[in-house]
Amino acid sequence: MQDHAANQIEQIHSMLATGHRSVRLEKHTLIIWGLTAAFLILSVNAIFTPKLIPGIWPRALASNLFIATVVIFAAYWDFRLTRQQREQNDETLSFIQLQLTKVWWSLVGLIVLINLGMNFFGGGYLFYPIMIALTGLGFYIHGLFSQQLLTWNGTLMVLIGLTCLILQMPLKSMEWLTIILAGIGLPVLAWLIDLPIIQQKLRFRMLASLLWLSLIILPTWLIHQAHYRAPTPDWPTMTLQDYQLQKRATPDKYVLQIPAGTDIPLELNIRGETLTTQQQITIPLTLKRPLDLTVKQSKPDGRYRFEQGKWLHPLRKYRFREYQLAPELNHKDGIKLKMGFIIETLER
Amino acid sequence: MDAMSPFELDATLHQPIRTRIAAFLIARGEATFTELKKELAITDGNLESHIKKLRASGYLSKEKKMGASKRAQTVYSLTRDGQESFENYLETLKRILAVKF
Repeated sequence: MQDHAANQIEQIHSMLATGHRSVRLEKHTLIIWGLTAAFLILSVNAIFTPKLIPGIWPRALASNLFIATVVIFAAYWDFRLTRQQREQNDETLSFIQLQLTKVWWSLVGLIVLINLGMNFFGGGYLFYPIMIALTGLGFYIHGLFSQQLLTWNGTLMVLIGLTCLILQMPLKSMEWLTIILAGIGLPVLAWLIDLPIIQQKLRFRMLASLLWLSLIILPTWLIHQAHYRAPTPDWPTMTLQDYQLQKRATPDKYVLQIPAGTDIPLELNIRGETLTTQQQITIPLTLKRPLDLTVKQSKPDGRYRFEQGKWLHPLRKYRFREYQLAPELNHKDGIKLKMGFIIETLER
Repeated sequence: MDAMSPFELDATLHQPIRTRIAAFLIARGEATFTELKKELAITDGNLESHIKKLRASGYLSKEKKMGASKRAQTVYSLTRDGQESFENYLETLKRILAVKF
């Protein structure tokens, strides 16, 4: 009798697990959302240019309105297709599935709101890692009630988002990573989740997750390399002093060597609704370490290196940190503004 | 029910397929005939007979729902009585396992 009872309990546990994990993510859902996200990332910046809408605020509002419209259309299309497909197969949308759909819509809404907020309050560098991590969180939660592969890949996405920040990946590379993840990663995931062999065998699930990860990382790495490649120039060198004294003829292409301690004046022009500079201000800055610049047809072409190190690409710009601006009042000077920040050069 | 046993097991639920139907519906909430058939991997006739027995005991409710394409779907779910009976049945099974024979 005990054996029979044990067998019955085992059957119950098995069916409870099947019932809890009965939410199925449809192929078209992953394809629709993946392609929508990739399309939005590729198109928004290309459509809403400063030339088309000069003001920052109207541009941000217009682009976010466009994003919201596309997202609402995708959500409606996906929900309608899912319901139609379930009805055709005589299947229902379970209570858990309806709740998960609400979680997804909340996450998508949150991503759109974060994008809108960053247009006004800054922090745009964080957008792609946040978007990837939130999508990963959505997949992780969905996977708890659905195909296990989704939980795994959701975890991987959260890790990808965090790794972007830890490695201080350039914004453009993160943008391409997100496009590849959405435009290629999600459609491939749509194909993988329903493969019976992946659902049954743990080692195949692991292998599928690794292959999926490499499918995203590899193209991103290749694009990153192509984008930020700064080949070592085999050009003659010239010191800044020689250049200024015009001791010899300036070649068409050369490497300009600037020693540490050189004064580099910073010309400053501030514009604003409340304060403005009446005339151009020049702030004397001093170079703290030797710098080499490539010069082409009398203009720096953007490649640079410090202390004979690796040549860096012009797109690896600078980051302003710990920005401070505070008014100060005293009898001698009256009122003055004190401003300070740290300029960080991105060298990786 | 086992004549010698001090444990009373619900005769309707104490049948492997009906136990599985009840457990699946407890976890999922509701399911169509097709979904139940797919999960249990049994024939239409077999499933129909078990559904009849569960409905005769008042454990299973049948509802027609209208979908987006205006096509009616028949959906099964456990009644309150069915849910309580399933919980009692599970408790009884656990008590049986706890007893040393």
